[in-house]
Amino acid sequence: MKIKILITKKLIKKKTGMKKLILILFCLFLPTVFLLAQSTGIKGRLADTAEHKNLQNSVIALLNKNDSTLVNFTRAAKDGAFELKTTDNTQNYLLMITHPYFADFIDSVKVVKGEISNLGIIHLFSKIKMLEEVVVKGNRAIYLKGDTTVFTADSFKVAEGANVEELLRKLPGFQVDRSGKITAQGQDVKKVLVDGEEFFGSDPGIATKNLRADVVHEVQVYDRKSDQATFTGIDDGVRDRTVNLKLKEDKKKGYFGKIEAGGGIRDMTKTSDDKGAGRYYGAAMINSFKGKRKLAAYGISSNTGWLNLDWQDSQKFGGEEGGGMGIVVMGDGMGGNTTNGIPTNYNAGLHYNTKFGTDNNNSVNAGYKFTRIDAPGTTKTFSKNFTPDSSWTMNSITDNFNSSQKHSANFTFESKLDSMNTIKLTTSGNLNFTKSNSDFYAENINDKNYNLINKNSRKSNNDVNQSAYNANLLWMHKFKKEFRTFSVNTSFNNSKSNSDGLLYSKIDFFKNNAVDSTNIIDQRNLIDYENNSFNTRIAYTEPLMKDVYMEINYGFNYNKRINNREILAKSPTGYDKRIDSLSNDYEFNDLANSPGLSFRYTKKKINFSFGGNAAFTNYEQLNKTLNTIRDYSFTNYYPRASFNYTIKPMETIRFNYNGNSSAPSLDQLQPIKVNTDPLNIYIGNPALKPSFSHGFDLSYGSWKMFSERFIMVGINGGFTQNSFATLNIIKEAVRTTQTVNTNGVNNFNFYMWYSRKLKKANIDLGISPNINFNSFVDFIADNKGNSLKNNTKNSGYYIRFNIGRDVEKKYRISLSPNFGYNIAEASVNKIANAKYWSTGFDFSGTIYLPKNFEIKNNVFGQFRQKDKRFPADNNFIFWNMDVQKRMAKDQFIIKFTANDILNQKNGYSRNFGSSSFTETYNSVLRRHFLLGFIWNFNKMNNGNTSATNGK
Amino acid sequence: MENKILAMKKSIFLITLGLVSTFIHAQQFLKAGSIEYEVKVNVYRQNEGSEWFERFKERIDQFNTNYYNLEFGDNKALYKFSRKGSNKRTFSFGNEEDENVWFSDYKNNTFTKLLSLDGYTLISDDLKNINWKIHPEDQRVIAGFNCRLAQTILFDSVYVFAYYTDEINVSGGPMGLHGLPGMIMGVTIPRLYTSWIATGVKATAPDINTLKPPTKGKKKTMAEIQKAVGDLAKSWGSDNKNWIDQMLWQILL
Repeated sequence: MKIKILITKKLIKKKTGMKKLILILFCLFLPTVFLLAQSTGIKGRLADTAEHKNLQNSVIALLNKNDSTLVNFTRAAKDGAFELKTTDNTQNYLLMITHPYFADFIDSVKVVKGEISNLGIIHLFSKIKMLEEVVVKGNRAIYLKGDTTVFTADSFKVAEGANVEELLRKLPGFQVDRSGKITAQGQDVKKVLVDGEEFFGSDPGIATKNLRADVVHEVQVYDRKSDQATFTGIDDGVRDRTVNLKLKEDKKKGYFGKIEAGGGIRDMTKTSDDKGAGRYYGAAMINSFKGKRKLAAYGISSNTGWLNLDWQDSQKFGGEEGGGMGIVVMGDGMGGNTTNGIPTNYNAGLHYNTKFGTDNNNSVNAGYKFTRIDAPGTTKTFSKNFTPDSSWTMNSITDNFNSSQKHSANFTFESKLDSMNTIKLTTSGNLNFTKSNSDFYAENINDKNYNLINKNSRKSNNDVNQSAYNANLLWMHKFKKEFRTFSVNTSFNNSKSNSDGLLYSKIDFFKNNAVDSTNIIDQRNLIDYENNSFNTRIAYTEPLMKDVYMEINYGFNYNKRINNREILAKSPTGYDKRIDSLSNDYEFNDLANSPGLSFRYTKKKINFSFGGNAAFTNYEQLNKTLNTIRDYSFTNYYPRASFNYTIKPMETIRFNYNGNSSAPSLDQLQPIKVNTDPLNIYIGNPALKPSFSHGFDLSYGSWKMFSERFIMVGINGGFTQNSFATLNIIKEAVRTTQTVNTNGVNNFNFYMWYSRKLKKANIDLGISPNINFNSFVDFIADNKGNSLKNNTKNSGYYIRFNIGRDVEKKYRISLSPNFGYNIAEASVNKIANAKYWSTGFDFSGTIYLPKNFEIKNNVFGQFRQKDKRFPADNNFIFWNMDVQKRMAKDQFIIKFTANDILNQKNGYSRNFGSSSFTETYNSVLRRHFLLGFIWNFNKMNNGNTSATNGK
Repeated sequence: MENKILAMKKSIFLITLGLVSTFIHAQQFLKAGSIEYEVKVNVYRQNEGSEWFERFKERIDQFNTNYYNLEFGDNKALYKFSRKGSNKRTFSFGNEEDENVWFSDYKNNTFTKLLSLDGYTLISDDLKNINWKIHPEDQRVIAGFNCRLAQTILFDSVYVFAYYTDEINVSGGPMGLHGLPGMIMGVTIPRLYTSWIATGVKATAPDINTLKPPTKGKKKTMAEIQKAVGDLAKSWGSDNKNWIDQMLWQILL
């Protein structure tokens, strides 16, 4: 038997001067071999050479000789004896014997098949302990981080060269609608950030449409809390669903971008609204990175509308039109179909953000955007109007042209002064120049005898210059005591508008089909408007006891508005005769003090809060022309309560209550006299009381990961006391509107969303029923001045299905049909009652062909039960198709697009009102074909031009 | 591969000693008792490079710390959440993890665990044999116990470093880790940015009757879970190995 003592070099280096040598004894036995039954293994006995201590429980282990993996182990018996079995093979092992107070014994042993080799007596030596550091290393790929859902972009295959919007469509729980609006896990996405920073002022469309999917490393979805809540750590319930696109590190060294351009093939068919004008689009985008510094720029121009408008602009053109005076009881609009006009747009933007200072404590984010939109358009309406004792038809046509230019700039500076203090300065400003002119013609015809009631032709043009800027400073201070915080948020806003317009209006009033009287307005309107406001909010949070927090806050708002109207009538020398009855100079001062108190209890499964604010508001209306002052004082209350309970992980119940009292606006109390639309006149009601509305929301959500099953069920509703309702007084087809208080306004809505995956069939299924009831009140006065309360009840029953299948690299289809039944019943004007079926579908399908060809179809259809009152065909199918070919690893893409192949876009919408129903046709871009070319380019520093970094 | 990982000595943290609540004389060779583990997730490291995370960074600790308890006796062990490290706002994987319970019966080589997964899921199966590689020369003291390094690769690619002590005569450890000649007192899983270090050992034997498998939750076999994860992987397209794996590791541990 020989004994070898080794000294570990590493240990000597590290722990010199100490008795920190480890003695590893290698003993080589020449074991005596005994033959024992069929078992294979070893046996022996441990002994303490010096002190003869008890060696019971010492570990005797056999390790594989080549990689020292553990094969088997046992503990020594009281007398130190052990026996250890192995597999039935002849093999060499390492024998390791350990005991807390003895040096490790490591030896090579040979086990012979069918034998229990007796190792005899093994002597152990006492030993030393040691300490080591643990090394943490490796890479990561994370899915759920707290309340953030993280998607690793590369895990979701999109066509190469696809943009982020395409990627988002791929992510479970995401929906991107036709206008580019994103819904994530059932909620609208309010912000899209790039690397945590606002990108061109957080406009979601710019990032999702212009960034390529393959530069994204992760898509993170979370509910962004208010800055104050993030700071105090006390949830104030304010959430904005936010998508953060984290870019790949290797894509952040150097630059990347794309250039896309295309041209249109004319559609010369007679039905085309655009008279066969040529179509084009072009876009360029570049992103450049250097360390923490990011610079991006884009330029876009098109007259196809569909490609390049960002969200804000597309909203502006997509149906926020209309409304006006008429109360639309039941909106029946069709989203994408109501775009007014065929805009040509020019957009450009520049974005810069960087971080500096120790630990990057300071950050700057700045941007500039330019937008110009020229939108010619034509709108036709046909409406039926009725009072209890008469009815008439109005037909109108408007030709308009709008051209607006907008410059906007934003700048944000955030600094962590120290661990206790943070400041954030946000400023933005914009300049707007709008030129518009419109040509309007309308005629009102009595339904009984088809006689003309009146005819109105109106021309107007306006030049409007607007400017606005605001500055917001937030200071947050943390105290040593956890959750005790103090913050002040102060903002200042200024906005100005100067408009100079000409209005010519001629109304002929008829009696027995002959002109009875004529009303002519020919005037120049000079309107100056300025608004200055100052708001501040101070909040203090204090932990009362474990899990219970209190917030005391105080808000102060001051608002000063100046409205100066100079109305000039035409005289032989020009527009120089001031019309005193319409010209005025008003100043409005609002002052509000609002103290508030709230409590919050947060525990793992329960989150409960209640509290409220009171607002003591004072309005002052100064008529500087007549030197009169009107004063109004209101007290508004805002009680709030919310309750969240987590039943199980990923299964939650939420309840929210919001009480809201709102004071009447000055326009409702005492509006400024305006005569721009002589057929619709608005008068004030100084006797208005504040209204109070109660809203509640109860919802249940559950998500099962493995079955990919999602359930969301909810009801929400509310009712309003002293609700503001309109009173329409109609005489000779001229409508005079006033706001009055009433009760009986309420709403109730039930919704559900169920979706799951059929694993075997690889089919996604979804179903979402939705039921809603609304009750509205308005008042109608007939020709004799009798006012009647009209209660309108609407109910709708809808169900939507979704079925989809996705076979990678082959095809992707999804179809979602929907069905609905609508009932509208009015207590007075039964003529407006309607009951009809509606049905529709949304289909999208992409086929991936060999040689990098790809065909994409989107079809959207809607069908409604015929209504005799609306002769127009209300059914339509939009069909868009894309064929594209990708080349040179997606560096180049050729794309052919056919939009509205069936040429069924007609800009048609219809509305039921309590005293009218209206059909509207807006001019829209219809069938057109485009051939486009995309060039994706990138240059990454360090020679990293490929995207193969990272797994 | 191993060398590469070792070379990536990006973050090194020293485990402090002296947190021993009860010092146990080693020669007792404990067979029953309880161990408290400090479970630390390095959230800074976990979120490194996320500029978005940088915003929160100031406000939270570098480590998300929680304490778990392992009660053992009768060759069985029950491992579950005991308390939070601080009431500071933390930043963690699903905060429901603290409802997970692991029961292991080392004698019969079986386990039952309750996971907060699709609601509550209960999994019972045989303890899988872990192929440990022993580094007998690499030793340190954890909670007063001398420990030795063992290392294994689980789930094909996940390095697990465990320090076990032969002074405790139960071959168990946190979660389902087991199979070493003694109790696992410290674990580091770099790819999960997490370490489990025993801070104290109590020699008081737990009531044997409390060492029972959890019963709450929907019963599923490991195979079913793995199949479900596999199906999920399929349904979410190819190439999604990354996060699916990550989740699997959490489940399988």
